[in-house]
Amino acid sequence: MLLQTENLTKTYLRVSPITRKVRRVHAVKDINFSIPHNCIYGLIGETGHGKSTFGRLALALETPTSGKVFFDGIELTALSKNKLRKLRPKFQMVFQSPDSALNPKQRISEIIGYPLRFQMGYSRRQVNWAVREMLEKVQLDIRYAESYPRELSGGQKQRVEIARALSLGPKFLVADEPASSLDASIRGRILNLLLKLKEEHSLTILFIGHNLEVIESICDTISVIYKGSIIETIAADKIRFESRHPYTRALFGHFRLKTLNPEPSSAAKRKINAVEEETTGCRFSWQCPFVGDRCWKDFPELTKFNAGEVRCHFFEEIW
Amino acid sequence: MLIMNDLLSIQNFSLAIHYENRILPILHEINLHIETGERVGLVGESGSGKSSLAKAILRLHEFNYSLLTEGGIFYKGENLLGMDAHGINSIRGNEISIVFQDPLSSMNPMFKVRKQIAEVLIHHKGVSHSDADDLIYDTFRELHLTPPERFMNAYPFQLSGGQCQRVMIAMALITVPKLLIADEITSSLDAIISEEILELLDSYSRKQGTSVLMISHNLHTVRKFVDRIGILYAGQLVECLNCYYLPERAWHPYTRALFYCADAKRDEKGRFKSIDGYPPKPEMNIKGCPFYSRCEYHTDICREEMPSSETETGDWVKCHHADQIRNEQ
Repeated sequence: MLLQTENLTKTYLRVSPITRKVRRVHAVKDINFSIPHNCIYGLIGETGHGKSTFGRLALALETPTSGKVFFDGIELTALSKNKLRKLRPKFQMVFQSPDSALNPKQRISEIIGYPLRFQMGYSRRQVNWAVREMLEKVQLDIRYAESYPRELSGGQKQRVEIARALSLGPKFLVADEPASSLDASIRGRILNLLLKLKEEHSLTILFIGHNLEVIESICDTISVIYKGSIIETIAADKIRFESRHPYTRALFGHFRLKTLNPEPSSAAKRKINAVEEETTGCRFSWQCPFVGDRCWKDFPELTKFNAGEVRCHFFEEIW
Repeated sequence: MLIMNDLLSIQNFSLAIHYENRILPILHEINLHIETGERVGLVGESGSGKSSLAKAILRLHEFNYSLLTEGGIFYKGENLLGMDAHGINSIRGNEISIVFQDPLSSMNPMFKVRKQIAEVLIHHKGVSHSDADDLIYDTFRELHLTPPERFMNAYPFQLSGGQCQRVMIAMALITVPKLLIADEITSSLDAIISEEILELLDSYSRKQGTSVLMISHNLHTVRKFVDRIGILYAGQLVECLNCYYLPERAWHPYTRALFYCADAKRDEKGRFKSIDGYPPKPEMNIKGCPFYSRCEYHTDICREEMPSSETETGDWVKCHHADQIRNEQ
């Protein structure tokens, strides 16, 4: 296993501006996750359900509240800052919006070259060569090396972003919605590039996204995240028709969820809040069409079934 | 050619920016007709001018020396472009409403939702405050914003994105407009919520008999919702077709390519489909077909001459090789 997490949890404290009450928000809750070598692993979920937080935790860009992250057998969460920095070239991240990830005051050659000088101690000449090579690899014209990010189109900026991440020769790449800010006609090229580079560098990619069609066709295995916990892990070609969790099935339009409205009564709301804060019950209960008494009390365990793993008390009845 | 039963008829409409002694065309001779009760989709990628067209219909652009227009946008036979400020004000929000992509930035964060919607009603319909409250209450119930009191007394930032967007739809539809322009209303929302919102919009606008012009970059979202789709590419409307015929009877190479790209399926070699190259920029001043450089069917004539279509009502396509593509099938 290349990346493994053990009970990874990240909790934020949110203080209500009026009542000064402190509320705990579990952005990521008890995630046990393992990504094998050389595959594309998908992570889907809605906004605010913790998928980006998980990506950042996996790369030790954020410190978890509790839990451990193992990368290639090394425990990242126990390393000192210096040691971690030495290890950073091995795992890199491609961010969603290249506009905010690329420094507008640096030229493309500087953006790609800076980590090389800083991390690898390359000389100026070596950096120049490496930048050229990287630009060629991501199929970007060499004359763009002296341009600023603002002179490039969205697809080209995303290429620079990928080149910067790959210049250090990582083994593991977290791609946080790499194509969702792009147009459909250009998106395919970026995804093809990722696929190609994955083969060449024998990369392992954690692909985070919310576009179901893209994730379904690019990934090998997909995990679905709901309110900070993984609720289902399943092979990509089976997710559409053989998934068992009601949420996954609703995502693919098999049935309608009990919608957000009508607004729950105050008693029901208290119940929901209790489940969310203490995480005793299943957090999906309030929306679930199959909900039973058990769901409000016990947090379901990840259970194996023929196509993957699912976290639901009634998965056997859902077909 | 003025068709009187059209609710909105955009005729040979061109829009250009006068910038640094150059004239940059944004939209080029757009012809689009929307009948009463019809739903029309407008699909284009970023920079193709779809939002500019939406704004131009309601004259939300300031037309002055730096923004040049040609042609006309006729609403019930009246040219919106030539109307005075009073005239256009009585149409905005009353006869034609618009909903934008980002609901939070289209609302005033300092006022409660109730006040913002009531303002529309009081201004356009001259109803009293208490009547306005009743109307808002009923509309919120229809749009599943229950209990309505809670949402009426909330500030926009207290609502989630999906709730905010429904409030915006309520605000747009409460005056029972004849036409609703929906500019990327679901692109910032999650899959499940956006589906729900489209369904609500669908049933509610059908009940009111409101025509909808739905603008989006996502062909598949629009396709489920509308009757007819116009494909916009680099400021030109290249094809208009009944979306029932997609993709088999789409004759423009761009429409077909876009359809398969939006699918995000991998071919037998395991590669995603995409279109090579980038769309032309407005300052390039191209003479011929804008899709020329990215098209697999291109010949010399495409570079020299802008293709035209025989009719611009019903289904039509602007491509020199449409017949060839038709025959291939």
